[in-house]
Amino acid sequence: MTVGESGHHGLIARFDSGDKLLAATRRLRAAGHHRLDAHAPFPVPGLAEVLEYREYGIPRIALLAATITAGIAFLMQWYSAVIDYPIVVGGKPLNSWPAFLPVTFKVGIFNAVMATAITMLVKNRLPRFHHPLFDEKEFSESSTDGFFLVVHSDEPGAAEELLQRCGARSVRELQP
Amino acid sequence: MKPDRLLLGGIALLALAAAATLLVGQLAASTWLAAVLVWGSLPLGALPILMVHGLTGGRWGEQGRPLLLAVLATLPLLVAALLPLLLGLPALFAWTLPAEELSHLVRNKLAYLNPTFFILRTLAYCALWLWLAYLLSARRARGEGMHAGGLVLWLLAVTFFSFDWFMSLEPEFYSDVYGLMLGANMVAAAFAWILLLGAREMEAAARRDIANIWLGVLLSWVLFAYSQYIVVWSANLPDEILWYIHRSAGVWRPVSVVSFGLFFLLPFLILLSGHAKGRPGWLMLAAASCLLGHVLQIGWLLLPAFDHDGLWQLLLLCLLTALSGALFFALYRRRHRDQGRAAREVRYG
Repeated sequence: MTVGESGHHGLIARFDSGDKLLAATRRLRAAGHHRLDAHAPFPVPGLAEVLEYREYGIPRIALLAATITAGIAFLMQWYSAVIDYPIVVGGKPLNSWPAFLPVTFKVGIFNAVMATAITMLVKNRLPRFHHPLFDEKEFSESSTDGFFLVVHSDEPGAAEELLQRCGARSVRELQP
Repeated sequence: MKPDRLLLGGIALLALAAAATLLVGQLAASTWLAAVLVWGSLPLGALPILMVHGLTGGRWGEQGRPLLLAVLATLPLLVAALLPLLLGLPALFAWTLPAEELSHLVRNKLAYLNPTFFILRTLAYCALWLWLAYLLSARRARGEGMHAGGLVLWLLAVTFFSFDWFMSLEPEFYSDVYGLMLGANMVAAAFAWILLLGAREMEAAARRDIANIWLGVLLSWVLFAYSQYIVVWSANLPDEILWYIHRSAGVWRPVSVVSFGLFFLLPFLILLSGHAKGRPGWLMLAAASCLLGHVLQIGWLLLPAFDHDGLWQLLLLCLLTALSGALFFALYRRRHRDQGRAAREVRYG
């Protein structure tokens, strides 16, 4: 977590419903607070759009990993069957590409999945052993019925006041 | 619902046309078979989609339902165009020759491939499909049991239908996975049809769901088609590989590549992109490509079995597909309008 100029680690506000969380997120963004993070027990419709969360990296990296490794897998089979150890099987041509496809496909899929999982971990900055949010006692309820909004702001006072006005049940400062 | 003039007229016209192609000869009759199966694949593909939705529910089915039911309403036309061909089995099926002229392999299959049993089976498939279509469109199918049972029966019927009307044209050939491949082909074509005609009206989220399911069906088609090919190609047995050799000779070679590209590859590449999947324009392009590929695909499966000039067969296929398609499309449009009217009446009383 980034530390603000004032040595401030962010505010965490709890809301009672997804709608309130969504409305608060909208108002904070409108007021110019852009470093927001929301935590909810289920996907709140519209929240990702309000946070302008877009994920472009993973699909592209997965596609790239799949095509490159599938290409390598195909070339390796072609090289070993045609150049390195040419042997005629069942009267078929040396470059019997239909037989290369299952391995090509599987290598491509495997690497797409691995690239997806690894990119996801890296982008989430995992593995990570501690996070200031874990000190917040109530935060575990974000997996049952708590809706949380974390705000990093250069003007924590204004942000706290705005969060209160949006109907936050509680607003606390995160400890390092 | 009282039968209307369009439906009855369509049935009469298609039945007459089917009988007429039998009188003209094998070229006309075989191409007619391919043309009506191009169109008939759509209601046959709509059946399992509706039944799967009956089991799972979900907004994608609510959005697709009026279109699918309108497609399903064209099923009687397929039956009408197909059944007269039963009068001329010798024009189409080599196994109707006297037994002594058949190869040993085919002679062993005559317990299954004989005209009486064949006609009874075809009547049974048609009766089953019409019955399922009736239950689904009359909204009598409430129970999950009917949907689950209907799916099993549909797959069995499509499998044996593909053995009878597709595979037995070359009676030496046999492939287990043929029915699954054809079933996936039909469902993919039905999805393409509802996306082509309905993508603009659907809710964005439901449209994306439909596109995702369609992608899944296309992938299963390519799995089935490829697994049949790799098994036959690796074994390289004369009875089986001849089927592919007939289909890679002359004009059928480019047809096989183009139909694969149009039916699977182009839609697949479009559907890979999450951005394109959200745009009706892209989806309609993918759907149109898939349906064009579907015409070639059905032609490629059926027509190389007959010893005619492939180019003429293709041209005639396009002509007959367009002619018979006019009736299918007219009935589809009428039913779709009826669906819309019924929905409005429900909404506004």
